[in-house]
Amino acid sequence: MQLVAYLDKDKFFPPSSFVKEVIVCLRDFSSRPVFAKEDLPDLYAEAQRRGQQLLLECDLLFNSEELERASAELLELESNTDCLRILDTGLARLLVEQIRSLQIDLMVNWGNHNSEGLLGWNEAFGSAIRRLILSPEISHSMLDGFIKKIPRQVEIPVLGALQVFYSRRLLLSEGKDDVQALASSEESAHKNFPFYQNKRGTFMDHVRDLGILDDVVNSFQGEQVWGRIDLRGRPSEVLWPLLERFWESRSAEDWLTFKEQYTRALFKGYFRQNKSSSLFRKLKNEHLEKQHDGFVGEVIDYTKKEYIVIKQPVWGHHLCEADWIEFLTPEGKKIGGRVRDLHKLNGHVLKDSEHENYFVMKAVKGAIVKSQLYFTKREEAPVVSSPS
Amino acid sequence: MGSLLQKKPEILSPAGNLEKLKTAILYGADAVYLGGQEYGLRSAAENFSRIEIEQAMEFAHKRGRKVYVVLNAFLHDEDMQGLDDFLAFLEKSQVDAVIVADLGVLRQVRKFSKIPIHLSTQASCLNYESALFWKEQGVCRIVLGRELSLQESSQIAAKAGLEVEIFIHGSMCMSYSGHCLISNFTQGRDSNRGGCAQSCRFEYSLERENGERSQGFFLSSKDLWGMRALPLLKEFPVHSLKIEGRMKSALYVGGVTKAYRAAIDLLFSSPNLTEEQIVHFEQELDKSVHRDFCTGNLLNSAGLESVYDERVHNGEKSDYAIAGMVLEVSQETNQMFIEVKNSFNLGQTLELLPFQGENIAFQAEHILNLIGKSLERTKPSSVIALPLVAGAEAYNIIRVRTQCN
Ligand code: SF4
Repeated sequence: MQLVAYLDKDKFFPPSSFVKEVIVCLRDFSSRPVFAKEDLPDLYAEAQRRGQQLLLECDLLFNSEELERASAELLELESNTDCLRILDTGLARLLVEQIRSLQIDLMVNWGNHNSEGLLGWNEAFGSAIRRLILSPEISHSMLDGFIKKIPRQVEIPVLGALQVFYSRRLLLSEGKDDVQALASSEESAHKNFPFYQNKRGTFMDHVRDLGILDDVVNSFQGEQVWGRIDLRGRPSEVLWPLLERFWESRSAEDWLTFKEQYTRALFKGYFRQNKSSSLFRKLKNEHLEKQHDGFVGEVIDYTKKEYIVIKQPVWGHHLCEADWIEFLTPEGKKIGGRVRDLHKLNGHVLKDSEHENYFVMKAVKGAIVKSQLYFTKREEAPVVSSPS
Repeated sequence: MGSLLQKKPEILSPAGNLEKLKTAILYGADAVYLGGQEYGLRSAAENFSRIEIEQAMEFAHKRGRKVYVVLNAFLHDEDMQGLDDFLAFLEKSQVDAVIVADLGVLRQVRKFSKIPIHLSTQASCLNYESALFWKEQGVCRIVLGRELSLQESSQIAAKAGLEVEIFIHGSMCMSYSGHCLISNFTQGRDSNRGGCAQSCRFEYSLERENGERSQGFFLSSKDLWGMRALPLLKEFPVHSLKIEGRMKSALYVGGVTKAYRAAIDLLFSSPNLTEEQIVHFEQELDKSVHRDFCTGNLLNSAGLESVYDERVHNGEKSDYAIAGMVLEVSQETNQMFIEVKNSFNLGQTLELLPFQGENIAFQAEHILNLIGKSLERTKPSSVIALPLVAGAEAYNIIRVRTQCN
């Protein structure tokens, strides 16, 4: 694994011995800007001097009007960068259309959790993509799968703040000044979510920082997988030397020493296992497919000891007087019974429930509203044999 | 795009289940969108089984209406299993389009079917270049992000040469669609796979960096009501107006669809909508459940007025509730049979919503159950008979003014 890291406003460059690239976030182009455009030439010169690549990040979305302005400005700034990192698909398209030789890092970090989609991004932008910046929701095993299929560099966050919300609306104050706040809710177990607003919108980070550097340090050889470190707002001068030591030794003790100095709680997110997958399967609606043999309809009125009303879909099995039936209650209880006193809503006696959207029959104890009704069997009328 | 200027936009209504689909269509939706049992974003909605999708297609196509199936979850590799089979089924059922957000899903749709593809708002497409990108990927319509104005949306349609659909009514996500992981990282519920826990609706205490403290619902968006933006449609046409709310009631679906249907028909048969007419339609919208409302970004950028910031969050409310739905009418017995959804009393004034035209107020007299017993008060989840109101038809909604208001 190779490392890339954000530059903070103290302009402290991480050691080039193990951080190959630095990311700059400029006002008007970033959710968390720390520099002005005028700073870029100096930063670029310093990065070059240190043998590090300088990347300019634009992690914002734009409407059509803003897009053209952003694209023009980025193209001007581009000469002072080694690569642009772009979130907005339209902006990415416009930039690579304008400079055919441009290579960008495409931020596909919101969603995009399958290899088919990642291959799609790769094919759509072709050689204009240098790297795909992946979602913080992917797990180690997902990443393993992706890198086998995707012939590009990929990047994941390995240490630092985890942005979990991006809104166009200015939620903290009417003005366009930068505002920061901490938010807590009694309805959430987590307290003090960092919020920050600038004129481009409102953003929220998780209460804990992601810390999976120790998980990946030995995992990915070569230059395909990049890990991103974000120490903005953290004491970088203290932390970088400790990280460098850890990177060299790759020892648990050095990681522990680093963690002790880290000012915020770290967590693993979904990297070890994407637990929301199992919950997703549970959440998926598994309501019974009402199409298998014998489904008649659903009880919509249960008047104790008197009658029940059945709503019967067109594909429902028809019932006749005296048919054997079974109800499946919403709690999963099965109740057997027979059809008695079959009639229409207006009281007309029915021989058969065919053609009826609704019909009424004698109540069966416990067959409450929302119970599903199934046909069990029909007893044929006894055949009267003719005398020989 | 010139012809679009004269063309009424499609009214696209939510269909949470087969009953709501029929309600939407009968109340004037040109098209409906629904979710199958997998691959959509409303895990908790009832959703449609395959046989229900077939029924939906039959009902809609018989009436010349369209059905779009939502496949807008961001899927993981393992969730893709079975998608090919589902797509083959959808194609055979002749669904009019699928709504997709994930490029991987989109590619599967193209690989396994020829079903037209609409790009979901979850993809947060906000500019014409992005629209052109998605057009190259094979989409024929884009559901634009709710952050755009009507004017911007119309310009994207013209510049990208694509159909565009915008949200005109309903609840709004506070984030850019697809750009909120709060549920996933706090509760393990992936909002991009249908598990959103609505964390933005919580009350939060806020401590600003200057030490100022406040308490409120600053992440909770008011609902979008686009009635006021409709007059601009003649100048800034779009192809489809979407009503949010697959989880909402039949009253909401029917009432809101009817109001927009009538407003659009009036707008395109007259020079414009008058203020009085807009107020009338807004009063109708007010009778379906909603939060406080705003025009979102349709006219101007949504500011703090579009967000709850009060200690009191009114939540979803309405002065009206659905009393029931007409199941059948019997000319023979001169009765209409109602499935009661909310209680009402003998003598109470009810309002029947015909599929078109003025609503009909009537008194709940002679309430009978199905063995002819007179009732003083109805109970939810029961079927009752009322004297037939002239013009009543199956699937008509009956609403009642709630007492607390
Ligand atoms: S929590 Fe709110 S903002 Fe986030 S996805 Fe859910 S509805 Fe949207």
